[in-house]
Amino acid sequence: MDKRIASAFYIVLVIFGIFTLRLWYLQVIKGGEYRKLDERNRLRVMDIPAPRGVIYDRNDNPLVRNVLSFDVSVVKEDIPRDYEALSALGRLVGLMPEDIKKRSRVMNNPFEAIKLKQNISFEEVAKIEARRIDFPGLQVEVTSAREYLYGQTASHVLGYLGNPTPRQLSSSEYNNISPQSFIGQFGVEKSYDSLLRGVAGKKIVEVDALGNVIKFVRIQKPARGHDLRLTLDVNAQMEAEKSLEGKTGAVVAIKPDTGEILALASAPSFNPNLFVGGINIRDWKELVQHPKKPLMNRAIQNQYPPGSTFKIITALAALEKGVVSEDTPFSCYGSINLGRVFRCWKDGGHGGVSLYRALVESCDVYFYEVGKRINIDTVAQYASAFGLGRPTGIELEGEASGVVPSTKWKLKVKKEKWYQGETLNTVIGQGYLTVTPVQMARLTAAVVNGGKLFKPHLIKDADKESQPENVIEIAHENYEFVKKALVGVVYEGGGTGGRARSNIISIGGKTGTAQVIGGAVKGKYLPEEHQDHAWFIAFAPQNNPQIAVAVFVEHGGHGGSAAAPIAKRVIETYFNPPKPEVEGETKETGDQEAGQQQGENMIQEHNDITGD
Amino acid sequence: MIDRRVIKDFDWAFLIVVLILSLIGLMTIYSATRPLPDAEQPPFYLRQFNWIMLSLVCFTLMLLFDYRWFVRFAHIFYIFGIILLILVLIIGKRGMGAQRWLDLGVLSFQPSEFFKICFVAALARYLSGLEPGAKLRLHQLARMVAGFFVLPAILILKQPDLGTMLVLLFILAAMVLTVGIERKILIATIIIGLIAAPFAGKFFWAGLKDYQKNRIIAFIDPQADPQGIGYHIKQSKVSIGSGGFLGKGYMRGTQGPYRFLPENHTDFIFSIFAEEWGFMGSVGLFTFYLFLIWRGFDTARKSRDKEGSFLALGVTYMFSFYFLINVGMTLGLVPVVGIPLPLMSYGGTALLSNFLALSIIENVRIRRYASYY
Repeated sequence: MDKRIASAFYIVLVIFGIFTLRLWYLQVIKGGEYRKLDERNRLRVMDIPAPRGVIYDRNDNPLVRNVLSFDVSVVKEDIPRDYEALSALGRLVGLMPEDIKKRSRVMNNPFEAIKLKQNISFEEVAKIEARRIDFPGLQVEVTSAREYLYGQTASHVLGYLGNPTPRQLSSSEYNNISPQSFIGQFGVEKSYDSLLRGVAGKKIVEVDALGNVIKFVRIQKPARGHDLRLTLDVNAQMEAEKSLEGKTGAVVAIKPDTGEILALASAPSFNPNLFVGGINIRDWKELVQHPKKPLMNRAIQNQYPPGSTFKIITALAALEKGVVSEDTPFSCYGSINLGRVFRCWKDGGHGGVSLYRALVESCDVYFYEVGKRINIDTVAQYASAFGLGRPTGIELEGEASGVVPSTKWKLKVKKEKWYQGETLNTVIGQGYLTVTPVQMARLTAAVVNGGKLFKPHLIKDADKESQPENVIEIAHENYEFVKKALVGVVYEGGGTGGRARSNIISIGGKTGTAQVIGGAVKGKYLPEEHQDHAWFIAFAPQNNPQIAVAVFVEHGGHGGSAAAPIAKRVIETYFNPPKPEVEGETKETGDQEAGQQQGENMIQEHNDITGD
Repeated sequence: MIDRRVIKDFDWAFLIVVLILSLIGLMTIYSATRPLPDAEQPPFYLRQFNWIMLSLVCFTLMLLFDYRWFVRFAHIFYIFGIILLILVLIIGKRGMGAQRWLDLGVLSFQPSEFFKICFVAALARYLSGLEPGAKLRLHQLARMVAGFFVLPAILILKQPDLGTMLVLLFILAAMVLTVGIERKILIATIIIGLIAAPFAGKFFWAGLKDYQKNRIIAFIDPQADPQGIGYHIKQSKVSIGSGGFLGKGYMRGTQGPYRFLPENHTDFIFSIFAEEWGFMGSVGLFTFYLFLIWRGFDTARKSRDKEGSFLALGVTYMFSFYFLINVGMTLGLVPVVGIPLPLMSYGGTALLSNFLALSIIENVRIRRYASYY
């Protein structure tokens, strides 16, 4: 038996040997590797999000601010594995178990905190704190979240934030961005993201297995994002949106002498506050599946025929090329026959009309006569000079370019030669010709400022004087003639834009009604989707115009009735802003007063003009 | 009553090494459970110290009795042990998914820890009654398995305490092999074992609790990570590995206090020790354990009688098994079984039972030259 006891001891000895070899392997051969793993256990690099830049309107009213936000997150490792506990966690924070799983997939490190919900209420914080003991790794952090102070206002300009997409994460523009961070995904928030975003700071901390910070090792402070001052006037913007309420369409208002955009509205719109902290699936679906596409910015993304508003360009081109003079008369009997009948909008006809009256009354036959005498390529040349047919270059994504048809364009795109009849359609703003509201606002600005074509822009840069992109060489008296006619459209008897008439400021404008279905069918009683599109372009005041507006109402019917009143409201609000409501919050009252002052000066000026 | 030779032959080295290991354990428990800033040191180390003191007293008191008394009354101890095992199933306290504790008011106590010693004593009594030098026969083997093993194994598995059941099985097998068994019986047992293994395995697998299945899955495939057991093994290796050659230094380990390594002061105490003391320290620690095991085998050989020999042998096997399985587990060589590191892991009953077991070795050793009376 002694021999067997000895062998038992030898066996134990051999196992000790194996253990010693194993120790040597783990501690000496792999020691460095395990030390690194140990540090990775312990040291955590945490992002300190940089406060995002604030966005102001042109009068320094903040449109967006950062507010304290309570965010609830959970350490990935501590996410319950069984479905029941996961559902309990989901109920606590108000998420589906699948949502939590989906979110946790973003991060690889099992000890990283997974953001579950941003910007939770105090009640939710209390509820979560009370049950933290049941869910180790659940934590509430204080960060900052975006608040869009005016709700829906200017949503298409401001845009919204969202988590970076996989593609953005891999692009160099967004390097060093955490997959859990929020970056601009639409509007100015996206276009100027790199400015607004700032640089996230970092802190290296020692944590325990539950993610509790034990001590700080190193801190690198975040750099705050730059603030942005927009060219928008929040009052005009709000009025534009209010007057579009219930309609589908867009309003763009531009400062003619700089190209600054005073208002850019698209209806229907959305509330960017929905996106704060990550939009939930239900709201997102609602936005995306809405038949009227509220996320689409109709001011820049949709193109429509300009209708009679285009007659401004036709008139300028005809005058400049000597096709007609201011006094050239034509007779309108309601239609003209050129192998095919071209109708005027007014069945009885306008009788004998001059170019001036043709603009005021928007006589189609007069312009058909012009169309018979003018080369389509000349019209196209002027249309392009005024910026149609190409994106304006506004600082928003997805701008449409519109179409300016010409003989060359038709050969290239339609593989056909140009027909005379198509010229007649084009000169009254129908046919192949399409434009965007922002293009029309810029066109109006250029017509009334004497041909200076500015790039419409949203960012107010105090250091930089706006330089026109191009100056359109047209005789001064021709510009003045058209301007006078446009004021006539609003103020004279028989003018199509009478609904834009204002008692406080002189407004000029031009109506447009873009046909949706063949010209022969007319009437107010068509279903909405067959109603014509309504246009109205406007400027004010008559002398030294300070604002140019383009209003577009999809299926709105007549430009004069559907679009003109909207232009009037926006213009009046711009010059005569509503008194700021007395609120508990202190706003920069100095600037507010300055704005008020400016409005009053304008009215004064107007009275001077029309006083006699 | 105590022979003067008994005192003269007292094995001081043995007791000192036992005490050194207990104190190293105490220090490591203190370090592993040291609190994060702005918290208090939990009293684990104090409780362990009290248990060490109590165990030392019991160790000494046990030496007053000749070990042959234990063998003589082994069947009574054994029956008493079985009664306790039944009691624990009826009125035992539950904790950590198992029903292992008897609440004695002042302290709670694990009967299965105490039973292991009764089991060794019962085996020693049976084996010392057999014809010396003869190999075990089939009917003798069957009697041992049926008489000593089956009932307690079922009772212990019922708690469930897989670790302790495996200890009993191991002690039985090791003792049988040491006594010697007829070759044909051995071969037959192995063959039957191999054939039965898949069926038994299936039955065994079905009988396991989920957490036990997870441990085995995690050992085979740490990536599978059911319930984070793979995480324990990985963190244990990280703890040991990050110690390097010389260790991070006492009270400098982070895996334990930062709670990356669960069970750091109980089953995974060795990982914490290895993190702080490194390869050198761990080899030193191995040496102490090896010394105790060697003394155990040596005592079995030098015992004046068979009773002492079998007692010392059974206890040594038990001690070795605990050490090898526990350290093997922390090194990632053996599946995670809830087995403490003898003398070092936090836990009162286990510590006491280890002291009692080692006291038996001392008991046999000091009386190796004593005359019969």
